[in-house]
Amino acid sequence: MLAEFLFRRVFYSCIALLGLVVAVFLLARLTGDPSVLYLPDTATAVMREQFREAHGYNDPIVVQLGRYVWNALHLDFGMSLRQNVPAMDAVLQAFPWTLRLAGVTVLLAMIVAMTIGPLAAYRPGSIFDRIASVLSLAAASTPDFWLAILGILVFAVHLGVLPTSGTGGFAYWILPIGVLMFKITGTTTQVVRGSMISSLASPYVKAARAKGMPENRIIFLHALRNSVISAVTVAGDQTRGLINGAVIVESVFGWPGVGKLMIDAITQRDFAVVQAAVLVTAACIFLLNIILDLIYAALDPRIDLH
Amino acid sequence: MRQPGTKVLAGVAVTLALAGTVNAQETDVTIVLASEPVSLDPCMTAANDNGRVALGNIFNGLTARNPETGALEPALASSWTQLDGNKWEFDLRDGVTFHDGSPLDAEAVKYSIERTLNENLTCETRTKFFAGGEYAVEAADADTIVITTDATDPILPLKMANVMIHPTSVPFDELQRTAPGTGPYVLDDWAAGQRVLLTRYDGYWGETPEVATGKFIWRSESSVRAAMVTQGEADLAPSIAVQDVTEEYGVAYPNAESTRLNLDMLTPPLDDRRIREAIALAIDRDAMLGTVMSSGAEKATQLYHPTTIGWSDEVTMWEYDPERARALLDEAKADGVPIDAPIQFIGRIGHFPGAKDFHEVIAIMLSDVGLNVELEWVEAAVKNRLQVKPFEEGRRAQIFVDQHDNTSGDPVFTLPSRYGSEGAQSKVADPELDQLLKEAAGATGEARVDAWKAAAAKIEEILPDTMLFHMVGYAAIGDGIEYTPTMFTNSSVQLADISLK
Repeated sequence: MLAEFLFRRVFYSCIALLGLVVAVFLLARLTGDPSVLYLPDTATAVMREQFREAHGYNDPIVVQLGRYVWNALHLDFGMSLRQNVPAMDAVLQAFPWTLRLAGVTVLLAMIVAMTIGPLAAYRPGSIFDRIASVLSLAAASTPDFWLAILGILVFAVHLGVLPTSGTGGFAYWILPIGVLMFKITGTTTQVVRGSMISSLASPYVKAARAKGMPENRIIFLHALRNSVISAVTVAGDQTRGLINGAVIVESVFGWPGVGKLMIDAITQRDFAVVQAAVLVTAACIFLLNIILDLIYAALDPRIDLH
Repeated sequence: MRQPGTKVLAGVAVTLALAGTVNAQETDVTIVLASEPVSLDPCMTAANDNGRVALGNIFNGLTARNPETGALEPALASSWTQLDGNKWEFDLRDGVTFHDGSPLDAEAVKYSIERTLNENLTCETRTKFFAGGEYAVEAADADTIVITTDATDPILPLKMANVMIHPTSVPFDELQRTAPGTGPYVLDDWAAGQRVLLTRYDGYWGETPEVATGKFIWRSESSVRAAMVTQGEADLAPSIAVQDVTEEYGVAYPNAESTRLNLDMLTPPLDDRRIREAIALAIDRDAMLGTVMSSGAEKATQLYHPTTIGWSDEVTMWEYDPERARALLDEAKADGVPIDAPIQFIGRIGHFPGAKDFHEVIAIMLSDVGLNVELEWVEAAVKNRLQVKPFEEGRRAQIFVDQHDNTSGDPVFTLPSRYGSEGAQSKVADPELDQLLKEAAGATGEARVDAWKAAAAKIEEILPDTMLFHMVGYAAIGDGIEYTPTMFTNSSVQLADISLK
């Protein structure tokens, strides 16, 4: 059953991926002629024509698409116009940076949210609940860009305890992860809290209490397991966003991830890199969706993988 | 009792302490730029992102411009002579070697020039400095190169400052990530997305620079670049926004950029000169200085600095006169000019620090005298497409803010492309001006100076644009170095110009 599920999901994902690649290919071409960006304003019309000819932009769009798909099937995803390196190499160099950032951020955010959310839900309306609700709402609403600059000013400039930006040892991870965690932790905490309030009011919790089960077991074992599904949904959604590239955080902190690479490629009309980046991130998100489905099934036996 | 997590906390403390000592060794410097170079191919150094790292560090040309005086000086050529109108001879410097150990000779120079002019290569230097014209390159002997042009080219030595010389081992038809040069630094490492590391080249032909290693990194946010200098994480941030300048670390410098309002003189109502003059009179430049832009900027009459040859002091500096502007509009309206027609005022997102306020103030000033101006923001690619031929058919009248840097010292890199009838972004088609531009481009000495001045006067007569300012840039310079930014800093940050305290 599991093998059948995996086969079906991979098959449909591949079809969706192909459709996505074709759509991105066509949409990228609609954004205009790269020669206006790559050649200086003194370039003559002849030079622009030579540029378009050299890079195949004069060919009909169907011919360009066919060439791209044929080459992609041979694992040739084209050369980056800007960097003059294979587009896939540029993406695969940047992607692990984003993946690590996203993984650590989501993991830490889940741990915090799964701790604060249930405790806040235990006594709705208590001081702890009110503080947790206000703080999580504020965290979920705080713009990344503002928070990133504020973090640099406070912790790097005024306190001098963290580096402003860049990559390196442990200290370089604190600010980017802290900024990214803010929104995810806030959102997930609110979802977990709401879900836990429902769970704690349910008959099976009352039954557990009637049996004299300790409260910590009721909260963290029975009620949380039912609430965690909604948290996984939210966390999955946030992870998809991060895998697509934490663009703002990567830009501010000089993090060499795929988000910044993709934005630069879009603004510079570096079509091959855009296509390769979309392909890799989409494949990763499809994989993530399959993993999430498996997690749902593991958490809730009522969920049928069919 | 030992607390759980003590080890973790201690580890964090040690790591944080180490993070606070990110300063490099004393002979190393870190330079933080706004963007990463995209290619360090010798052919791509004319693009500022690449040139900041490569020009004068990895590569040299036959000639070079003095950053202080602007004068043309020998580099890989020890001397040059104009044999006749169309022929120049360059004598090569002795004892120069490339980073791969091969010697500099006439064959390498010939190969470098021909690769630059190779039409199969999308070469930034060719498109920027060698648009049009035929060049025949000949190695007269091992140390002498002769270049013959199809038309008189009096500024060929100046153009040669932009052709970077490399060995013949560099592929002719293919751009490279980088190549061996003759400069004082060799590319040691390029970690894509993170840093470029240059180390001193022991076989350099010139004076040994003080800085042993130069690390170039990039952060898109100006405030982060400035903070890196104040925190000692970087020694130099060559370009930061005015709001990030601190008294202790900030330095203003003329950055060679000049701005203008590029007016669509082919479309009503801007096809009427009175409307274009009204725009020139509607801009209160004095009010903008020190408010929406640096007080260090200077009002401009031409699109290049006064240090450029042929700059004319006879071109009008338009003064703010809204009454006269309104009168001109009324006069034009009475003659049937549709002064109420909407005009697209097109701004480029993130064009320069403070660009938003800059555009909004100008839009208000133009509306104030009675023009129907609609400010629209577009990204760079869209603006470039709108400004380059072929222009859109059936468009509304358009106004763009243009920013242009001419560090070459000669108007030939500014005027023909913007005002000549064949110019890629010119909306002017005036035979008399074409003739003046042609004469100026082929003239030498005083005749060249006079010809450019005559062209400037003719441009003022046509008035295809409104000149605004010669801009200033700001650099953040750390405590550990001495560096004086110049008008070349935007296009080249030469490590050899940095001294250590």
